[in-house]
Amino acid sequence: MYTNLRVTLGNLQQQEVELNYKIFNNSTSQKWASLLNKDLKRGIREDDRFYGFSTGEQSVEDSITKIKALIKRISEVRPSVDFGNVDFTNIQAEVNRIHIEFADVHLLKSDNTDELIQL
Amino acid sequence: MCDAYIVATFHVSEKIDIPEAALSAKKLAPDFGDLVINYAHVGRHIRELYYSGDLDLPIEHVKLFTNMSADFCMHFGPTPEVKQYERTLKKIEDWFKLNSSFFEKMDLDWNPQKLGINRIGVAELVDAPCDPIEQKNFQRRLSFFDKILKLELETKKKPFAFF
Repeated sequence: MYTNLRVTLGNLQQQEVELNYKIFNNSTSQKWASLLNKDLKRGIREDDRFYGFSTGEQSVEDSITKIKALIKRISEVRPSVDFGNVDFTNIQAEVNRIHIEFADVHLLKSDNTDELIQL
Repeated sequence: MCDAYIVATFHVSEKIDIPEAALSAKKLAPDFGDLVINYAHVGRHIRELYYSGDLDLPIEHVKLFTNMSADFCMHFGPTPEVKQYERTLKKIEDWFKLNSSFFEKMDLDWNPQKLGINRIGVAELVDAPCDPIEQKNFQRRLSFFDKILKLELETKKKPFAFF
């Protein structure tokens, strides 16, 4: 039976903090812990998704820079994906449109090779 | 206090159906210190559609939140009021019925359990602060960190049964 999950967080200053979670003793929680136990062997995929903390807030400009970089990366790997001309002055409509494109190409297959690329 | 949270995702090897009993959990927003199952798809689930107010998307991008992987989310935001659940659920129901023509295309009827609307908690933070001021201070302390360094699971072997 899985009882606890210890999560260690860190930062660039080499500081650490440990969070201790008690895993519930029910079927769903134990099944989830079992899935986690399997996937931990392959390592964590995203370890920096922190949202809403005061020092972790992104500016709109930062977000736009990241979106532009991602579009560039997708276009390099798969030139056939056409994002068109992205209008960042009309963010809501464009985000909706791009979201559909991103969902379609989440795991990219290169146009040049059969390699699958995780973005 | 902001709604702060940390998401951990993995190179997922397996996704399984969330047991029906868990889908009926009456929680739309996690409490402070809850660790909940994260959405296991690239797509959009019903609660997300409701909060974004956006149905301008192909129906194949709608994937219900009815299965799980190892991915999880740790919450450090304000604990919602108990009454908030019923109020928000009613709002989602009204919105769902107002947009029934969209959901009929997917053969979806209003059934919060089958639609995977509720949040599923699988663990809780030990010694999580209950007081809102302490919660805010806790959240502020965590704001100095930006990376998950290590995850360790602990197990307890079942005791032998003696007959």
